[in-house]
Amino acid sequence: MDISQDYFSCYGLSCDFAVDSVALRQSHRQLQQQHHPDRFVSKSDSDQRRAVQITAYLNQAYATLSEPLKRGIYLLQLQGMDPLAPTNTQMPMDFLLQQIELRESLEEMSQAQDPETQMDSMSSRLQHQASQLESEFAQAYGSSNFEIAETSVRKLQFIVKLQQQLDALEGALLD
Amino acid sequence: MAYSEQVLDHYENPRNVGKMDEADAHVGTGMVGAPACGDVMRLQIKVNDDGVIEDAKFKTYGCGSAIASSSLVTEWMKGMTLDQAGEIRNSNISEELALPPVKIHCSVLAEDAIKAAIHNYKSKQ
Repeated sequence: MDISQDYFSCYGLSCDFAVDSVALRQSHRQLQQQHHPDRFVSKSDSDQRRAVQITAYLNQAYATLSEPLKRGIYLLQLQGMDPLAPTNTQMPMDFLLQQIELRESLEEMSQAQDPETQMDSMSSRLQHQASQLESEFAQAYGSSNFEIAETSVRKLQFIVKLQQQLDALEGALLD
Repeated sequence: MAYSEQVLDHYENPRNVGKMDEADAHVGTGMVGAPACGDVMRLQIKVNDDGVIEDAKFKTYGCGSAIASSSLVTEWMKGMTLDQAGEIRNSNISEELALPPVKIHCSVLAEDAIKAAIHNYKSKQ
């Protein structure tokens, strides 16, 4: 197996944001079994090393393609772009304002009388925004509007981060 | 990864956290975000008629290094002219805070927030 090829090709998928998750999982399992290091214990050192390399590659590939955010970033990287470049801090103003508001309310939630309802409503708001951004990305990428796609995936990164913080707060409060 | 003492000091006792009236003609507001880590920073300056920064406030939602970077620059900027503040570079910030290479982007964020706040102030004049 060629581990210099892109992740989509290794699973026989087309380079697209829409991914058939069932096909991806099946293809991943099949390749994983085929190249599992356990099958190479009696083989040569170089065969064993190769099996380990391929397994690492497959794990990375699957982790990247199975998550919408990582998949979007990877698709742009295949176009030679770097959507998470640390030197690029410009985001649409209205989006940043909204982000600050959301983080402020997240901060206040821990002291709220009824944090569960508030957490649920923020969570569904974030999920809604995430799925909107994902379809925005898919459409832009599909029509080669890579700059619009880049903005969508950059926004998605903030939403995912916020969702993680919300999950962490939920865990802490429900303990 | 261990934070430097300077970062911990600003993180535990952040200077100048707060908000100013965005509509005030003397106030410049800069907002930036770092997708690499999902950090958001708001930096505000209050400029007097001589073009000197009288006050600075920030609010940062992010890691310790991002909070320390913005806290540090609000201290630095007070008493500076806009031109002087515009010369603050991320390398000054990361040196002062002894930021490790993986956290340099936090100082980039603070530098860009200063520029954005100055730009916003100038656009109001």
